[in-house]
Amino acid sequence: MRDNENYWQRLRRRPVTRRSFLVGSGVAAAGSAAILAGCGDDDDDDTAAPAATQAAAATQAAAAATEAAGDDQAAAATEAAAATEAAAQADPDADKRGGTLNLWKTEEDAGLDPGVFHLNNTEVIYSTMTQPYTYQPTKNLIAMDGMVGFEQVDPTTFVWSIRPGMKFHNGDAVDSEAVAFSFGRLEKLYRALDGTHTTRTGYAFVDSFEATDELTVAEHWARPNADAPIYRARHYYSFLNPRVVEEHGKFEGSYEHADGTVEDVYSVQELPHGSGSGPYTMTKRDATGTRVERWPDYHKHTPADDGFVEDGPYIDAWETRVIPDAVAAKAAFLAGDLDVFTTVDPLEVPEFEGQDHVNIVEIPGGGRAMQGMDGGKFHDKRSRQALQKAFDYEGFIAAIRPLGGMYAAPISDLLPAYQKLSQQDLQEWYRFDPAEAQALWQAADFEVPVDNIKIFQSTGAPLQHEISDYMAQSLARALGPIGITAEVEAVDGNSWAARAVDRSTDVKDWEILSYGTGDRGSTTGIPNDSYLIDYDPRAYGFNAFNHYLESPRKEIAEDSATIIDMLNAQEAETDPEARAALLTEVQTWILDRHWCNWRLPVSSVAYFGFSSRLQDQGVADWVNLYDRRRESMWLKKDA
Amino acid sequence: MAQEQSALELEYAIPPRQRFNPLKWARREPFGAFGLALIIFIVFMSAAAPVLRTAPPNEFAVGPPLAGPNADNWFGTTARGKDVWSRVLFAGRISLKIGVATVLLGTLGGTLIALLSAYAGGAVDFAVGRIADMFIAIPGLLLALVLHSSISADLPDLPGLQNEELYLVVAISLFFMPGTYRIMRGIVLELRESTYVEAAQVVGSSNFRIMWRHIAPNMFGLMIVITSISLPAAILAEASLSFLGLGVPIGGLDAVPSWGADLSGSSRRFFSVAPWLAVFPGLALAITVFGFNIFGDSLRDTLDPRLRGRI
Repeated sequence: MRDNENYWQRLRRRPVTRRSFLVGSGVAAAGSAAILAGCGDDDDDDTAAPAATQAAAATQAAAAATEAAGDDQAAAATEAAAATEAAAQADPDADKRGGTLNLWKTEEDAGLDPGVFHLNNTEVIYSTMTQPYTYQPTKNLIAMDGMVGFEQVDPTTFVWSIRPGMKFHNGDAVDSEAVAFSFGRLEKLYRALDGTHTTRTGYAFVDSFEATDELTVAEHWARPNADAPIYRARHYYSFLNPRVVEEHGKFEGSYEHADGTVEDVYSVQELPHGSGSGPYTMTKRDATGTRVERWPDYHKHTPADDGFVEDGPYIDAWETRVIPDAVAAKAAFLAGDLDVFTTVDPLEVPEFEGQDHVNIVEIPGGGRAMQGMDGGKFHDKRSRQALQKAFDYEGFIAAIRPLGGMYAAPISDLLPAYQKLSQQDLQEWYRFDPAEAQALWQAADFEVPVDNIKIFQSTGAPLQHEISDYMAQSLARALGPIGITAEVEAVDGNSWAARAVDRSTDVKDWEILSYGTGDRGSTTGIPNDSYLIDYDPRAYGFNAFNHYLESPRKEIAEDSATIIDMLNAQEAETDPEARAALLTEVQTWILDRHWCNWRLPVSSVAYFGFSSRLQDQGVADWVNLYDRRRESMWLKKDA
Repeated sequence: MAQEQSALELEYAIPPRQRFNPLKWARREPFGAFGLALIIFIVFMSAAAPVLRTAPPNEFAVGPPLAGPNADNWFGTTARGKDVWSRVLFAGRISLKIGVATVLLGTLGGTLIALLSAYAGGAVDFAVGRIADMFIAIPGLLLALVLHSSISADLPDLPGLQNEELYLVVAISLFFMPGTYRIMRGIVLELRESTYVEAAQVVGSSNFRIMWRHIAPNMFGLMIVITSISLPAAILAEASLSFLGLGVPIGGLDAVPSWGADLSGSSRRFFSVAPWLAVFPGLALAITVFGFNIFGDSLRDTLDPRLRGRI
């Protein structure tokens, strides 16, 4: 130590030890945390107070100005007030207009063409495009959008009347040619791409779509179809501008018509400006999300219909943020940054209910928790049966559906008119029996040996992990004694979808495709869509599960022919009672053959979250896949 | 004459090696001893997890969902009724395993590369140095993400280290290796110019012998110091990657719980109503990292007196 140094010089020369640094950092961190924790609600008060002060000052100033002003100015002010009042009378909905609806999704889209994908893109398609109409299965209600009427002329002819005066965003008229083109391209795209996300059963029965006059389209069917009108409410049937598709589309392949003529098929995954004619136009689309803004030249909805208003939509813009993490989305929703939160776990309802700006709505449970089996490996019925016998259903309900679960039949539990299988019936098929599972597995014929069962899922929903984890444990326990193991592989949603439908070989690189969490109910109202499509050899049975008519495995091919006949028969039956009987028959066949896919028990009750500022949201619309197409929604300013 | 000789012997005699006295060390380094005690505690709890558990760690519905700490489930249960106490115990195994394997690979690898390249010098040293610079420039998390999507599926299962665990070890090691290389390279450059290395070269020792017998032993102390300091960072890195879903698989009968994974996933949405889901795995992680940190700090003071008291 130097003699002439004072305290501060000595302190400066003192070495900083690692320990003192750690202690200092810790104290600083704790202090910062304490300060932050102490802030809390004060923030609101701080901002509210100056705002109130400013408002009061403005009022005082305005009053003073009025006093000081002469008679002319007072008269002008009176006139302005009268004009405002008149405007308010002319537009009684003025207070409903404006605002931005804040939404979220877990991943960015992998394409926007409504005829190709339906993953992570519906907020853009529903908002920027016009659909024929919306359908509410719970109310059995149709609300007209791009159509103004339809008529079933005979059992195989259906005629549409298009709303006059509609224009695409580039000014082109929406006419029957455009609508016929939009509907007809779905089958062509499906062929060119060897499968798309569209429900093919919705158009496979159609021979042709014909533009009969400027505003009339006729569908000519090969056979009757009971669900045809409801199908057209799906967003696949959005009106697409043929000129934009031709000019900006990507060539996907050729389609050969019955008469031998060949047509080029194009997709518009970027959805260029002018593709749609909906109430909004897309102004942003990147990795962070999408934004759509109100299109000023949107046509009038006359007359107004459920969910549609004459001068809609009320909301100015929709901002959809990509938030991969549902927990972060929940935090954003609770903080008031999101208006809709669709994945409320029943266990967290008490937490939501304590929040002022949140509306939690109880909806019927149901939904789907599917386990698709690769027909390339599980072509023998006994192997599929073994899997289903190796799953502990009661244990699953206790673990995953602790607040109530129920067994699920092949079609949606939310179709009471058609669902005639009782819980007791289902328990007969869904019975956990490890010994029988082992015996069946050992007796089964495996063309491709399976020693390890890979359960393949997407990372989107946290509950999906729990379901797959339970599945892996249950299968490993039941089949472990005969040397079978089980594991879970989780990838992002887009990769998952690509590998799910990859048909480069006729054997998948997974054994079980797990999808759907079954924690909230939704239905299209169509038995084929909800959920026979998952068993259909012309739909997911083909492109996702290798259960299809042309399968090289004889049993699969034969069973495919049988189920296709049964599916055709039920969808052609227009009498509800007779159809319910046919649906029971096809469901029983599926359960008995352990065909293709099986449904795990689902929640008996579910919850949906809306911000309290979102009005007239049409809960059932949001739940039942027609979520966004509701122009009467509005945002309360003071909520 | 005899007196002069004994005086010389006394001056140049090698002092007898002192026997390491743990108690004496503990008195001199109480924080280090406390850290060591924490490490021993964590290792013991992890090793004895199969005995100390109250339920299989992956078993669903062993208790009611989101039950708070109680007599049956000491640390409470998860939303799916899994026992948090048992999961915390078993999760220590993966953290320690990945941490130790990572640091061994990262430190040994970095040291070996430093020894070879710095001793060789010239173009080899330059090339290896630039490669290290390149790795240092890539953010660790980004590197782990790239490796996860590119090599994780192709890695083999090793005895005691499954494919996904090996990925974690490789990903985190690659993050530590360039740093170790840089530090060690400086030491090798210094030792290469020392007189005893020159003497060994003069008597015709081979390069391998010089590196192995004369340089490497002098790097050992620093290597231990780097290891002890890197270990907690490696454990945190494993927890971080597991938190992001890039860690060990979380599904299946044999899935190993991880503190990082348990602090992420579906558990997080219940943290506000069931804080025990965050508190216990977080506490275990914090205790482990803290233990290794202060133990490593003391070890450095003990083995490298030149750095004592400095950061």
